[in-house]
Amino acid sequence: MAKKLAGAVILALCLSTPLLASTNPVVVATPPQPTWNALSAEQQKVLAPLAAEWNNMENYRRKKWLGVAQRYKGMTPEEQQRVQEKMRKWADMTPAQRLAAREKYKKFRDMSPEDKEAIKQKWREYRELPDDEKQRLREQPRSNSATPAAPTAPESQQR
Amino acid sequence: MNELHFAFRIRQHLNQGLQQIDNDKIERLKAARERALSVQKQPAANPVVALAGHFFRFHLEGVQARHILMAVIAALAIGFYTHWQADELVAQLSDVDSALLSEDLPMDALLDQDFDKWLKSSQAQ
Repeated sequence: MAKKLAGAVILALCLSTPLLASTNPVVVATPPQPTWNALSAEQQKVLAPLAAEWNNMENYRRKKWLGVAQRYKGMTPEEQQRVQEKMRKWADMTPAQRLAAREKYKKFRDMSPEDKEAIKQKWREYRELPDDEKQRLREQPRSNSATPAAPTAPESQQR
Repeated sequence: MNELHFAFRIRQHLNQGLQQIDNDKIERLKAARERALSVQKQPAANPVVALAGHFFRFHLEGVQARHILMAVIAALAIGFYTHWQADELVAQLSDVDSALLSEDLPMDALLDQDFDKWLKSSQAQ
């Protein structure tokens, strides 16, 4: 009986090998997504910055962008404008850059509104720094280059 | 008689023997050779299928239809779970990316490692 059970388990594993073989189930388990021409006019309008590369995109990324287009409808006009502006740059980034940016953003998202505002203010101050000051920062050794940069709430407002 | 000459003599004897085989024996030898060739193993075009075939032939002889059914159900369950999991992950990506792209925080603030260094050093002062 045990041998038969083992045989059935092995058979089941053989049948599902294509799914298990992939390191990332998202890549194989996402069914084919529509081509650019198959998108609705509304979806094409929202995702217009991605038109050129849409048909070469992996299925899971197409599905993700269709999810973004779905959420787009519920955004304010300012948010929609920001999505349009950032979409092209986001798609051009490497997967590692996107992953690092997402991880950093998740930390930012979990901050209090005051801390978020403080980070935005700090970014504006940083942008105003003279070039030689930024150069000096670039030349400093990184404390931990393996981890992506993550915004930390200003000390005065950390909780 | 050296070794080479000895081998030559043996070959001669064997060749002579070949000439003296009668037709009946030649036919039987021919038939036996063809039988052997017909059951000779051919290299499999697809090694994965060959491996699976070998496994089924020698390990799963006692497996009944219900076991195969159970295996198919288990494989379908794994498939559905993986599909569901992928769906969840893509939905999470859509959520995070939508929020990130619509956020009033420039993309560079998330990418610039020097900004993070500067932030830390300005806090330390």
